[in-house]
Amino acid sequence: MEELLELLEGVKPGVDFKNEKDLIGTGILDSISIVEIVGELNDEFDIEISPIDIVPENFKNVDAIYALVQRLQED
Amino acid sequence: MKKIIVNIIKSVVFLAGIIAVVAALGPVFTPKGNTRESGINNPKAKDYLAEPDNTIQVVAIGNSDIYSGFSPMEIWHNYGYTCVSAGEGAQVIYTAKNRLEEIYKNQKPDVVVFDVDELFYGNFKVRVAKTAEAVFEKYLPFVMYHDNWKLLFADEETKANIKYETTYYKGQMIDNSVLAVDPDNPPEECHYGDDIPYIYRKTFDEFARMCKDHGTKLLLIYSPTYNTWTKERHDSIAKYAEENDLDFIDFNDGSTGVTIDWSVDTRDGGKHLNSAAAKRVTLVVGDFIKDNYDLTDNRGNDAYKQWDSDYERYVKKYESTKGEAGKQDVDSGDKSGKKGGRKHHDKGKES
Amino acid sequence: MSYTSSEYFVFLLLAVVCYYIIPKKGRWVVLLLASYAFYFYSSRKYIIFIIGSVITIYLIGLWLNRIDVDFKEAKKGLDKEAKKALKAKVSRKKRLVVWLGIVINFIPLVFLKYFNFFSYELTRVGNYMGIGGKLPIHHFLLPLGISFYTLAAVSYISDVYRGKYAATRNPFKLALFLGFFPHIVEGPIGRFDLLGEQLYEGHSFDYARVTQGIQLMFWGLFKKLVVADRAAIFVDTVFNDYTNYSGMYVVVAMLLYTLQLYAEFSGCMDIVMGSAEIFGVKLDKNFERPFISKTVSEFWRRWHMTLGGWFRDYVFYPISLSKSFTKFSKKVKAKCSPFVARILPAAMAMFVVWFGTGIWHGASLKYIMYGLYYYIIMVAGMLTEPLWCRIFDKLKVDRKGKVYRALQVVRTFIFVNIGMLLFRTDNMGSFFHMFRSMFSNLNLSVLTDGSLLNMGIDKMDITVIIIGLIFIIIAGVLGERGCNIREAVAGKNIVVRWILYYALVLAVLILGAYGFNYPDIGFIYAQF
Repeated sequence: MEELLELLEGVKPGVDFKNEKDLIGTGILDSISIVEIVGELNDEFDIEISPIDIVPENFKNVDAIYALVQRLQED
Repeated sequence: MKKIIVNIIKSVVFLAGIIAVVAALGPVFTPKGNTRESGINNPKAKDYLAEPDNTIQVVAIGNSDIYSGFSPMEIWHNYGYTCVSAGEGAQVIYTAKNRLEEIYKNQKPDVVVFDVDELFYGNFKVRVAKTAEAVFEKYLPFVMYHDNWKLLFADEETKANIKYETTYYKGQMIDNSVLAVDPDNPPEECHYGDDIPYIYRKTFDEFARMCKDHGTKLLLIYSPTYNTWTKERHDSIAKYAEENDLDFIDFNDGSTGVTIDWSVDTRDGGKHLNSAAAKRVTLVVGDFIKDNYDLTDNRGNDAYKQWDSDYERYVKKYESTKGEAGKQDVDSGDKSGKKGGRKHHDKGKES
Repeated sequence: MSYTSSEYFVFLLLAVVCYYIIPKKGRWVVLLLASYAFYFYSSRKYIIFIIGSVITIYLIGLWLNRIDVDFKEAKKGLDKEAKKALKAKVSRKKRLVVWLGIVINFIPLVFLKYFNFFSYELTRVGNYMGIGGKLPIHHFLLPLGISFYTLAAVSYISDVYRGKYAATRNPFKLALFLGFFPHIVEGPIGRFDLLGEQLYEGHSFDYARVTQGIQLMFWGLFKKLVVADRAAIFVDTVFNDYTNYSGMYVVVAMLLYTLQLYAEFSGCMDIVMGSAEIFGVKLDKNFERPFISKTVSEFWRRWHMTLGGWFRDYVFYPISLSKSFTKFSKKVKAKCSPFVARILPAAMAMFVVWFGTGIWHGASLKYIMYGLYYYIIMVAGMLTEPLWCRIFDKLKVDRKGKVYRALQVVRTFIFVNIGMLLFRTDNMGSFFHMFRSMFSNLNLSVLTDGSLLNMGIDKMDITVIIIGLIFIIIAGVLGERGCNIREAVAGKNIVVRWILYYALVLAVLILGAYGFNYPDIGFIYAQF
């Protein structure tokens, strides 16, 4: 979780990922940011996020992203 | 169960309310004059609304063929019969019946000249749509005249022009220019079938009966047309005329002696006659009326002095529009609507 | 059949009655038959194209599933190495299959829509290079909705390819998904997982839902017939004769066009969504208060949302996340500054998106430039962001403050209007002419001296447009606050409710720009 927060802050500094509950609805994460984050996540956690995983539910907040990463790590 | 009944009642009441409001607004929005400012459709075809009561002897009804190809002023000048034209573009018989009803409110014409071309007009969709429009016009005038809400807020100048006013052209589109038919580009075909379609027939029967009941002679004519006449259509009309004891003059089968030269007698490439050709057609109709019906010649009658001065204006317009098409200022017979350029922004629709 | 025509209302009424008479299980059949009757009525023999699409994606979908099933079988009993090799082979095969499906689906669209464009442009290039002759031009009619249903079809096979859901064994579900009559003409572009089932399962009659659907339809009719079609008269007068207008005439025409396009397109979406709602089907939204956007990017997340979403999910993400692209990004990261490394790959993927968005709208240079216009603004924004950061920091401007945000909205509004000007003009030449003419003549006086009343609309029309605009803004503000207007009204007492409903219905009937005084104005997006 810690590494995740670090990673996210590295991509988009200045955003309070810990507490922000709705990254998508508020427009904090747009498609370009998401692509960057996905790239980092793929590298960092050795997973393969595909376009069908990129739905608002999976990137809504840091917990959702964490869950996504864990799920893909199990595959 | 109770809820269902309540919902049904609610919906019915709601709908009934809308219809009631719409029906009540009809008379409010119905035009109170026959000028453009009155908010009437086809103001140039509505001269008959302004003529003094019981002064019109001959009425011509039909589609654009009649407002282009028949001249009430020639009837007046050559025979002394007061005549108006109530023709409208793409008229359907239900609309013609509406017109006739309006005419009978204030007039007792001796003759109705009816151009049968409109009886074959339109494919099924068009026939239904235009007839529905005409039915709404009669029973729910709100639909046609809803835009007249603006008249409630009109300025003094406009309000002053909401009135009944006769015209000098009596419903005729006076355009004497020449635009020859281009054989490679003939007028569009929008007439179908050889029999009077069912959807028109009943209404036409009522139309004819109305004339009979009012003691009006119904004279059927088939005015000259470039490509909408067929022998079969002639036969259908001839048959109808015989069955109903009506006179029928067909200008397309050579029986009248009027020959149309489509390189000089049309103002728009074969769609409509110009005023010179209209004069020739009118004189044949006028002669027929003179020889067969008993109408009073009102020339010299002081009460109709206005008609003489109207005729002068008609002649002026007749002469001034002579020449090549597109180069004159033409009094269009049936364009209404507002000022200002209004072009149809059509970027090409899908099929 | 136009969604604002009386024929459509008769048709819809018949469809609704049939739908609720038939037992629930068979209701989807009513929708299917109604949809294809609608299609045939509008497009006649061109119906074969959409049927072809349905058949294609149905077979491709099943084929992809079959490959998966076979793979599952085949990989049993293989060792890790062999499994990996087989997986690679299977992946390649699946990729070929889905691309086959994509290409087959795009061929009719590209051919019919862009034939003349290629013909004309290639001829031009050829002439420029000294090659004479002219390639033929054909005037093809487009099958109804081809630009929309093709995208929906491709989204289905793409989703199946990626395993988002299994392919359906029921071709009629796909036929209904592609051809559903409310969304066939102008979208919204749906997704099969959200829409397919909704269309298929029959819905019970719910009085509240049905009446709310009708209310939404009337709101859409209000926007289209009362506001958009009126504004169109002024807009057409100027644009059809643009060499004779300059200064404020052009500015007002541009602003009115933006209003016209928004009122018409979102109004049409309301009619269409309301129609679907009557059947219990929820279509995706295409608009979400686009004019409060602070950036052009945000605008395209609030305007024509399903189109933007399609390009995002089926072009942007697949390109950005593809193996070759990520490899390229890594190389860039290694060789260039982190700043460039972030922007370059994104800019490249975005180029494809915006070029595609532009050309989707139409087969002409103008539409391509329309897409690239927004692209350039967005990339320029990305590139200059660090600069702005420094500047505003120094000036101690609060970029989160109300004033700054308001200015952002104004700036975006200006950009969007210029885009609309381009969208509406006939070609690049007339765009530049009109754009320049806005500044060539400072005739502010026409705003007050009555000149604007000679453009086909009168004082009362202008009043109606303004009042309509106010209501649209009110609805927007309420919507942005999360208020569900129809629900809120439904909660009021019957007197208030009925007054509001009557007002809306009568506004449409009385003020609608229909009848002999008005030209027949079609739907702008129906031509795409």
